[in-house]
Amino acid sequence: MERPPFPDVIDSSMIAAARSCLRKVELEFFEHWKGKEPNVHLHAGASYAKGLEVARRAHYEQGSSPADAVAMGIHALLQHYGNFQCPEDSPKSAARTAGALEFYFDRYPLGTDKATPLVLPSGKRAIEFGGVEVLDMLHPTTGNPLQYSWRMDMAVDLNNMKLGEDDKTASQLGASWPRQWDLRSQFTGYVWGAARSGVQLNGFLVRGVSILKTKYDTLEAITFRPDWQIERWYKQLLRDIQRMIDCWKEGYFDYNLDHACSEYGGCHFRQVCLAKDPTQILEQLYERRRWDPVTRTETLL
Amino acid sequence: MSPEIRSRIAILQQKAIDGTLTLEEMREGVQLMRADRVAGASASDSSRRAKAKAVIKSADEMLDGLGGI
Repeated sequence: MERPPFPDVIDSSMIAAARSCLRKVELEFFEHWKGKEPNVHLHAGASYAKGLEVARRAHYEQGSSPADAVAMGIHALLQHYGNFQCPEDSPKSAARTAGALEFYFDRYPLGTDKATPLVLPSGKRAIEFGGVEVLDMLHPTTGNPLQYSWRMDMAVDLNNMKLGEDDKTASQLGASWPRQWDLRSQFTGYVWGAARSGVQLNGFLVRGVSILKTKYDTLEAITFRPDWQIERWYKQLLRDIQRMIDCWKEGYFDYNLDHACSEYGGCHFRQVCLAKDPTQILEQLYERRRWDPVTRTETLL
Repeated sequence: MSPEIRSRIAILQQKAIDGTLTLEEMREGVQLMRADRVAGASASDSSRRAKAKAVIKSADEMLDGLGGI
């Protein structure tokens, strides 16, 4: 395979992968290898997000009653889940994921939820609020400025604070769940992006719903982002991109070969790195699908 | 989640995929899901209380148990 082009647009997933393992970035974001087997967590999470978006738009933008909006949201969730076959041992079936959305709107009811989507200068509500910003770094071949894509579930007004909002589904919500967001780069980048587009946010509201076989649970966390943290994030972002450019120019992306290979249930390229010659494994178990962070579409290559 | 609700949601899901699901049907579905979840939660609470009663000995029983020491 020829050396793949360096991407024009960077996003938080790519940066998170780069910090964990540069070889992972090469495989997933430069060569676009993705597992052929669908991932239940990603699929259920995307269906849940679709349901949330549809319900919120129905209520806040189209004026539907809370009951109708929730019904429309769960309809959209079930449609998005489609005929995906949930593994037997996973609690994230279509029914359980739909149940999680019902539970969410029971705990955070449309109409009385204190976190309400901001009204943007355009008059639209800040639901699925995002953008693409120019970075102070040039593309290694075109010479055009690189861009950073960001998108949050909502930007909300909560008790006179302006916050980004992100919804997570989880298997478990332990005592450490709220702490994991305090330094999370994904959210710092969203706050930076929102500011660039004229919306100043104080931080982020993260809402988690755990989907277990027998019950649901929820937790909220608020995490703040002072200016100095945003400045530090931006400086680090440019350093991380420069490291990717250096690897790309050299034609060698460094391996982590440590904790990143086994964290969170194991890296999905573990089998590739276990093989002396990864080509056969890649062609058997993976296919090339390019994710476009701007249009949010995936294309089979 | 009860088997009845799971099979009801499976029907709603198929209708959603086919594009034949009405708002009214989905609204009823949400009500059933909510009722099932609430019933499940209270049944689980009762079961926990019943189990707790079964394993906790009375103070007298525990003192009896110490009688031979």
